[in-house]
Amino acid sequence: MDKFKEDLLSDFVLESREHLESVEPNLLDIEEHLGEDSPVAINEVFRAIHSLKGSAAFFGLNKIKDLAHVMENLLMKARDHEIVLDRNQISTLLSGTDKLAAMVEDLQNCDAIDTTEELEALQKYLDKNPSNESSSSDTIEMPVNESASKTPEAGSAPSGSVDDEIEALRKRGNKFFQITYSLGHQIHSKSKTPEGTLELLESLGKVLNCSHDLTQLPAPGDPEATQVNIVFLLATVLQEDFLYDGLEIEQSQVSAIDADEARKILSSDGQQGSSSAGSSKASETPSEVSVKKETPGRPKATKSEIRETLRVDVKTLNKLMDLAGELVLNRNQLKQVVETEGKEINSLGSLMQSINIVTSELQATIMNARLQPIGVLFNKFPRIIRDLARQLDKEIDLVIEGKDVDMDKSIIETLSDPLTHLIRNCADHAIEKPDVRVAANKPRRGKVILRAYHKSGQVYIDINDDGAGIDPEVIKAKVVEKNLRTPEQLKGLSEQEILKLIFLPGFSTAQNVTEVSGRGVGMDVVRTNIEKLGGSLHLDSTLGEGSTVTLKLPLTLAIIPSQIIDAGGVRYAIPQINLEEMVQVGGKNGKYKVEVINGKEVLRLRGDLLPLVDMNALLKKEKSEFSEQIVDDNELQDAQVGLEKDHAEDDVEVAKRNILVLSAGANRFGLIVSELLDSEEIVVKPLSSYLKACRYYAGATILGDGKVSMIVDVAGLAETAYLDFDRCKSQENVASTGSDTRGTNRKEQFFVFESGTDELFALPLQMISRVDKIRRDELIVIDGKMFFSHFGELIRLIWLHEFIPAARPDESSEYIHVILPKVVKHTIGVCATSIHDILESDAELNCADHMSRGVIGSAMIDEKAVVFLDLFGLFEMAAPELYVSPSINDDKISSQLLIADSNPAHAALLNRFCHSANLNPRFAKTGMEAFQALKDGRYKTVLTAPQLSVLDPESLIAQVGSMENGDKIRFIALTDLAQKKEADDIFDDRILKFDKHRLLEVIGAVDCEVTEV
Amino acid sequence: MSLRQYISFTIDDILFGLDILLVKEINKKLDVTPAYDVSDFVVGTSNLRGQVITILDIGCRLELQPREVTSDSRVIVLKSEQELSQHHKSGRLTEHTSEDSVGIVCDHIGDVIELDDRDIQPIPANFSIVSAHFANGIYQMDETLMIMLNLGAALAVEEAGNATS
Repeated sequence: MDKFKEDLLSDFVLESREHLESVEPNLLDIEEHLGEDSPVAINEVFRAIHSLKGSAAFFGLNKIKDLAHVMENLLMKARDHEIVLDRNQISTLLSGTDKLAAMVEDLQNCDAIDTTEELEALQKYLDKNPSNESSSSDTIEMPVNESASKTPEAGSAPSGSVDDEIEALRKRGNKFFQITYSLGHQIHSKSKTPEGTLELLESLGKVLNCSHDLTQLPAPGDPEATQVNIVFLLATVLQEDFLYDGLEIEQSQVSAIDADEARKILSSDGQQGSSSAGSSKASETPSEVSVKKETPGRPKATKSEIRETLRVDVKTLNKLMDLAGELVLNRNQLKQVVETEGKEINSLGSLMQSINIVTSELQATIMNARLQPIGVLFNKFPRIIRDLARQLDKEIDLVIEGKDVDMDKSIIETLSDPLTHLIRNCADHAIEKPDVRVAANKPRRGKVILRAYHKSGQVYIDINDDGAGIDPEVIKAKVVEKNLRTPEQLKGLSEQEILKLIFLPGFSTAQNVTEVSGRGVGMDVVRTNIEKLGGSLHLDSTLGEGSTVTLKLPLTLAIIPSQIIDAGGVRYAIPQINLEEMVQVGGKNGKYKVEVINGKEVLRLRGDLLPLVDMNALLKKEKSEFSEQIVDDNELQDAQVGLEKDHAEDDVEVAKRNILVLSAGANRFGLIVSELLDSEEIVVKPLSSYLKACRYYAGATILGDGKVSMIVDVAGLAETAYLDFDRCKSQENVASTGSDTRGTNRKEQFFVFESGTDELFALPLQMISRVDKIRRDELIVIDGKMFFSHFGELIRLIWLHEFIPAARPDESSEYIHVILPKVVKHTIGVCATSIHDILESDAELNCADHMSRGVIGSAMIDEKAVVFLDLFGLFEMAAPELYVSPSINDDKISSQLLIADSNPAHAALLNRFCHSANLNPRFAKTGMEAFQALKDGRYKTVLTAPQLSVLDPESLIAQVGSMENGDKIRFIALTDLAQKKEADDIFDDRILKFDKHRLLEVIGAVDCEVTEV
Repeated sequence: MSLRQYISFTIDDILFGLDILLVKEINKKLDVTPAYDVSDFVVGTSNLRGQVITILDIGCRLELQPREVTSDSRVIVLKSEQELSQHHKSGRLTEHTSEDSVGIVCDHIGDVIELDDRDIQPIPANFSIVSAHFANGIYQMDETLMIMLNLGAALAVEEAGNATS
């Protein structure tokens, strides 16, 4: 019996939680439509509170019952239009709901919770609105009569269709019982009341009928009372046995009847009109079928809303997950056996296949069972926003979208705090007071949008507000004031980079720390939490218009794609989300170099300096063999450089090492591993408490062969990696003065290849559509020109040496590479003997020595001379008939054109374009230079790269806009393919960087327009 | 007179006894993935039918030499607290294990012996084989002493970092 009661109690808690969860949004809905009639919402609240009261009474939880009872009374008056709920009353109801929730969560100590304030307030409202019957006894009848016809759930038409109601109940698995109480013996003598008895019955099922009008019964002590037998007709899904215990009555008092008898009783009684107590309340049948919550204010068809659910313990689910995982392992082993030894048995193959499918599906289904709609979390925000708005005297609307986006339960739970913080931030800091908003020409009411959606296999959550936005200057000042950064460090940062400073530990922008939010543990905690979940977050803000925080989160934490590596004979799993790239150092063709600065190994990767961590050495606390070798290797490599190249290749090979470039938050570092293994989807298992002390493990997993492998905590490793690194880096920065003022933005990627023997040629990577490897014998020669067939289309091929001074290729090789450009009208392929690499460079081009057509200039990249090609120049020579260069013989256009590009190679290429079209524009290397040039008013058209040093194009345009006649200047962005969107807004037009034809067209066209104006 | 069954095992030739109700199973060959950057007490992790269990070297707690896990080693997989809850409720057991699923490494597994509660004597004051904190009592078996291990104390997590100090 104890266990039984325990189970019932835990069911009660679960059920009450559900009821209470539905109360809050409905109350808020009522408040939103204040003054209007919201019968559906009021009814929902009423029903929830009522059933809570019933169950609480059943368990003898009087404190809960009493509070619920008073709340119910107030709600009932509202429902019956006796009063209209006002804000204060709703506030009291809300805080009452909170108290109820608190009590339900802690049943043991629920008596300790103080509810007097709510009780008094509610009683005051009730007294203020006297109605003819305000005693507690009417609470039983009132709801009963009303809701039967009003609630959509009742499943019954108004009186008269008793048959339907009975039938509906029967279908839902209800049984019917007649329960007889002797008023004197079984009610009064046990110091109960008839009303209490009815409530008790209602907590178990649906009371259809009662033989007496409960308000007109003899009082206790009245001798007549012993004569009165009250007969209730109860419909319930419970077993008969349970009724004895639940109602504390004798077996003899209960008689089971079938539906027909029930119908008879009802119809005969109904005519006598004494069924007042019985015509039942809503659909509170304690069945396992839960009703999906309706969207407040929008009643829907009720039947389709019902879906069968079953409460399952999360532990059971986790166990199922484990078992499914194990099944997958066993399947894999079985598969191997079948493949090697099962060939003789015919049907085994297909059997294996179906086991295969079933296993995978089983695993996927169990995974899905762990997903929950994010609405569970979102639903608590309307209340938070409401309370904050009242507290801060602001008017805020919260719009919630995408409640039904499913996410892993554990993610939703962890997300609660950071999201609450962000929402609070919106209400507290972002949204201004109404009068400030009005003064700024904004709607009086602020708006916060909370939106969840799926995108590319991840869940995105946007928190958008139309508040004040974030002022970068304020951030800068704050950061300097708090000594988080020096003013020098802030110079040259883009707005986006400044916004990111908000996430620094110890940053809090609130001018005044309010009680609501802002205790100096602001956004960095939010970021850390989000990143712990394997997510990321991004902040966007426009001053005066509002901010948007975008969270990017994985669907589930339970399965993550990861890279398996080997370090010193032990395998580890590294989450793919942290993995940026894998590089190999050493070896014959090793391009990347490991250096030792200040005793720490670092990797120089495309200009960035990354600290290195040797996984094996770190974990085993040994000295890295690797670092000892670096010095030797570097000496070896240096020696090789001095040697003839041919000889060097024969020389001893430098040991190869694999480095994973990992990122955790803003930190990037290299992880040295012994071997790269598979990439796998792994099932994450939590770490035991014994292993939590280790900083480098995030979890464990079982690999395909059944062995356990640790999941690496990349953030933990990063911390270790950066322990000494910041110091190294600052030293390095001092050494290479001025290197950061040049910025990394302007670096351009070039595709580098060989045409002859040793010479290297470069083309901007953006100009290349694809590279094919073809056999030499696939070449077709027609009319002295070379072609090859590319998906049925003949494409002309050229060798560089045919047009520019270059070495003749070695004709003996079997394969050649064909580089196919894009953004050209007539595709001509360029042949290459071998592909060298893709390099990044912002090197200064030497153009003076290369004035031949088809060549822009040359530069040293990574200590090698590279010739930069002018593809259009080449094509003009190769096919003059197709590439007639449009020439603009207009000095005016030429003299009005300004080109701003900070990348020397680009500038040279653009210069070449213009040159061939008889244009002689002015070039500006920085945004500032462009601005200075524009001041004299001569230039009407500006071609600008999307990024400029010193002054970015956005600021340039803004500054020019404020100049006299500045608005007449056209800005045309030279964009990369990937940057289409960004460029659209501020520029008058945009063209692809290397589309020469269109470039010249636009210069002409735009200029014409200008002259027309 | 209440008889209980005890499993006997040795670590560093010291004989220990453990109530058989605490034991889930005894494994010969468990493939242990080593764990680093934690105390020697934690040997590593292993896969027990889809469940990741932590393998502990209880000898470290008892201030014995750290164990090499060899093919002769045996792992006693213990029931977790949760699995024991029935026994605790019924009052049949007062011993505790760990919240997690753990296995302990030992050198040799001996017989299962049946003992009466009265056979087990309290720890003498001059007892010095292991810290008295980790023993519930001793039993004089033929020539040797069997130490009734206090698993709850030996497996406590809080001390994971400084157990040996």
